[in-house]
Amino acid sequence: MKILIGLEIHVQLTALASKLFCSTDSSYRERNPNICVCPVCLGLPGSLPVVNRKAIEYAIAVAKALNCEINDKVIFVRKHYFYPDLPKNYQISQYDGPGFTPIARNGYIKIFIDGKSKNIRIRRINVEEDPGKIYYIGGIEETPYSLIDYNRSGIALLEIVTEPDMGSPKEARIFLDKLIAILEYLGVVDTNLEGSFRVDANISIEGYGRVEVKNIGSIKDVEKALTYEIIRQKRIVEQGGVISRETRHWDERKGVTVPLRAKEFEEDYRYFPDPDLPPIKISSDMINKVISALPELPDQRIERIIKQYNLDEYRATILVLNKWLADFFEEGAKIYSNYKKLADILITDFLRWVKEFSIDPKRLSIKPHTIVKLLELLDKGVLSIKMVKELMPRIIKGDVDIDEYIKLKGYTKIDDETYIENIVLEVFKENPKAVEDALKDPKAINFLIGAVMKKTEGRADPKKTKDIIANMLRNIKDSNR
Amino acid sequence: MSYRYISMPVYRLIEEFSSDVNKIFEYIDAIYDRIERVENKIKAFITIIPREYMYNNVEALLKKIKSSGSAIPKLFGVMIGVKDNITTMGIRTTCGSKILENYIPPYDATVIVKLKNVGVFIHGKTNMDEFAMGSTTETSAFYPTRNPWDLNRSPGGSSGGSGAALAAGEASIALGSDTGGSIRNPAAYTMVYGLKPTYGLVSRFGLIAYASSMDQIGPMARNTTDLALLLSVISGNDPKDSTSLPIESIDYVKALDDYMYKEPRLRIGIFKELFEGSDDCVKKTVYNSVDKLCSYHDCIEISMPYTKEAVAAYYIIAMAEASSNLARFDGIRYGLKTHIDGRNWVDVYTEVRTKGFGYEVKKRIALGAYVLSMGYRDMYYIRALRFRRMLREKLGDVFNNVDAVASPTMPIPPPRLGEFFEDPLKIYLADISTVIANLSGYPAISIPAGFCNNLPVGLQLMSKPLSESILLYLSAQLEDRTKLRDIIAEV
Amino acid sequence: MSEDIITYLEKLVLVKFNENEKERIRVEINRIVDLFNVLKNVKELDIYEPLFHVHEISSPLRDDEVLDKLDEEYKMLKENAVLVQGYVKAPKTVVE
Repeated sequence: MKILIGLEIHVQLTALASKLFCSTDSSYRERNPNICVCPVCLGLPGSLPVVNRKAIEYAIAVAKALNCEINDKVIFVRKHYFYPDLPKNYQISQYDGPGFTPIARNGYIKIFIDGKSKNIRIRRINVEEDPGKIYYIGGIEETPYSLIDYNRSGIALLEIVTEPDMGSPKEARIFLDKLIAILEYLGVVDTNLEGSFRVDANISIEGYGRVEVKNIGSIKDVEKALTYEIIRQKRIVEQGGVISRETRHWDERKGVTVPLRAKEFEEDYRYFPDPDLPPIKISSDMINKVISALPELPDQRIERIIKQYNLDEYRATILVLNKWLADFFEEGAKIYSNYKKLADILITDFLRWVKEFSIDPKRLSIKPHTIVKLLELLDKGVLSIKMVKELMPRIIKGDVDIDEYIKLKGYTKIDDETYIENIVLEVFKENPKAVEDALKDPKAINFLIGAVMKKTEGRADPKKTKDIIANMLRNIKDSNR
Repeated sequence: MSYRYISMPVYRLIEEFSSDVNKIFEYIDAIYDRIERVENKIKAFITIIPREYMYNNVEALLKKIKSSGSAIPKLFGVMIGVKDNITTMGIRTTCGSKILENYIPPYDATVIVKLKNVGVFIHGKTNMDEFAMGSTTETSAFYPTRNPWDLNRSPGGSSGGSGAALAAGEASIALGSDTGGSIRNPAAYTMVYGLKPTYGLVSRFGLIAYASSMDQIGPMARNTTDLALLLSVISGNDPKDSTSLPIESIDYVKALDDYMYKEPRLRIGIFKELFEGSDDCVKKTVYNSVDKLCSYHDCIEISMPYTKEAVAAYYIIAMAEASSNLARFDGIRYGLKTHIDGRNWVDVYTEVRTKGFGYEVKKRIALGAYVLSMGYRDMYYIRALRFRRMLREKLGDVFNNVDAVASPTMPIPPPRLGEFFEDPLKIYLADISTVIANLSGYPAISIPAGFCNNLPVGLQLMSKPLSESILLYLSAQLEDRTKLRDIIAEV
Repeated sequence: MSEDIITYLEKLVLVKFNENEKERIRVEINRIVDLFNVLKNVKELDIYEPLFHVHEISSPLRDDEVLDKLDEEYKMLKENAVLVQGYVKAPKTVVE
């Protein structure tokens, strides 16, 4: 059964200072309700929209980064429906149909899945306004009335719609990771902000009806919701049932999708171009200005990192997709030339612990030179790899200073042969039976090695220890003859 | 004694006030006394600012100006009647509708800000057809306004209150709005001057929208110079209105003076079909006034078919846009309130909109949705917009040969109140002369032409975009000949 | 215009006509649609593109700056909406 997954993503342009159609403050989070408002975003009678230039520039930047064709003009339409969070009872948006075109279409994002590259096509990108937020007293059913906060009303959104090119929840997840990375590189949205990145999914099994799944709250939920829905659909099909076109709602708590109440009649949005907004001409000058200001994008950076630091695609991709990590790496690479080693430790232990502790990378106190120092100590043999792994979480948390720690614990790698010899002699004396076993069976040497490790708290150089023990055992054998 | 203030042109008022600022209070008394005498017969206003407030406002502002040492603004003390679909901060703005009966806007329309900046005070909000949907001011949810020239007749609409207030001496100048003729129609019917500017010349920010692609706020006055003065104040680019043209306001009084001094000979087109379709008396009266202009200018007959089709296209587009613009009225953020607890939004909104909108408004909203709905949009809405382009092209051709086009403003004299109740189509078709300017965005003026059986008749002149000065020039010339200026009706 | 269409439009725009109005509107709408239909006779229309905006200017673009102060005194809503602790009171969003 072939699975077809398409995604519809709404991205808030959180980097804008004002809203899409008015000069009201767009930083509405954590504020009292209904104070980031003005006649325009409240839809007061007589108010009129005026477009934010930067919103259009950001839209062009995203369109370019997604390899889209950019329209030479932007036409806004009115999409009519009645709902308490929509002040004008129409949303100013864009529409893809004859005569009305979105700001961009026909693009793609390249992803890597199972070692191969694949293009996920972007059908269109629209610019539109966010509605307000609805709150309930208790649940949506029990509440006697709704409470509306219009702070969010009028915030600039980009709607990015893909073709149903993804064949599995994993692909969808990889696609979203790449998209988020691109958006972060462009600096148009901070996806850590609540509600700044919303995903609706369309899933179908080839030959059957398309199901839309809404209300997927976070990126982690996307894979879960899609997996559940695919299983649900497969079961129906296997039992000979039919899947008809419908909209379902993802219930995060229960981990299931539930059908949304059917509407009485199909929504007729009565789209027409907004007479208050003449078309905006997108000149090639404007596009070129945006292009010349584009930062290095993920694909470009991956290529460059591969070449510049001689890394493989896999490592380069993981670094780049976590922008802050690639930044961290390149800072460290300025003072440390074993790039592979640096990359490795960053993409394994370092990344793992940062995620484990849910640290906001922007607030990371640890600096690249600290990691480089760790690596240099490892190289010198002062620290063993085991020690580095144990130290890592503590360094990230910031409750250990390496130099202090080394001094305090004498926590250095022991490779002084004389010192090890003395420990080995102690171990031999304390474990005569083990020595006998080792003389008979070479494999039993491991017990002795382990005992030395224990005594030295793992600091003894394993190879040297092994050699010294082997030597001593030979000496004993020889002297026994 | 202060009666002279009732009919005094604004350009004379400001001369009086600049010589003695206390004359303003005599003027205020004159207007308010007049309102007290005639308003219950005319009903031109929905809201009147109390006299004491006016005294206090003028006094307070005067004090402030004097203490700051700045100059007294040019039109300080002049009072204006403002059509009740123009947003005025702190002053109830109803659009002639129950759904906004108690709406107090928290901001001023741009034109109001401009008027305040030159020292003008608003003394009343004038009556109108509900949401500007009508041509007789009879669809107002509150009461109809009566024509000061014949109390049994309509003053026209939808800016009927503004026209009547001027004709009855209850206002010195007024603002109206024009979407399909709503300034020119009442101007013709009340024997005053009214101008619909080029679309985009006057900001729509704060004008409660009816048909966004055609609405314009415009000046109404009892003489041409006052019209020019008011137009100068309210026109000019507004960054808050994306359809506002990128031009700065010009001094139309000066432009008018220039034209009157140079007296260029222009070409005037006589619109054949619109004359032919008019009532005999109207035809005769308007021809007479055009003849007066033709003694100064070259007059030729012009013909343009599709005048009835223009009305069809106008109503399709206007109803479609109105249906959309009025979607926002649900009583939640403003407007008529009802019991909410335990009820869903579909029921609550339906109740508020059914109770709050009058029949004509509901009808237009429904029809507007119809012409935009799936399956009908191409046949009606899109088709009407194609017609609009064709009309504009044909009009462009006409204006290659003439500088202005003349026709009767209305094909019939002012109708009796209640006359059109049975036949809506007849009233829509009465817009046949006025809608062309709205569809194309061209400016047009209505100038008093004369009387038909003691009923006012107007001459309409249309000209190319941004050529308001030509309209004012021709108006001033005709005004000099007809002397139909600064007249107050006997009420 | 059939009863069905009027009911459909009522639902689309959330207004209701009472019995008397329904009678009147059916007659009036038919006549008005007849007026609309005169456009069908204008054959040459198909060669013209629809004219959405009369003057073909481009929409102006605004700089991305915050010009409005925060409305901490609820000036925009307090006289005209019902506020509950700063939120605008609205009906439920579930249809039973």
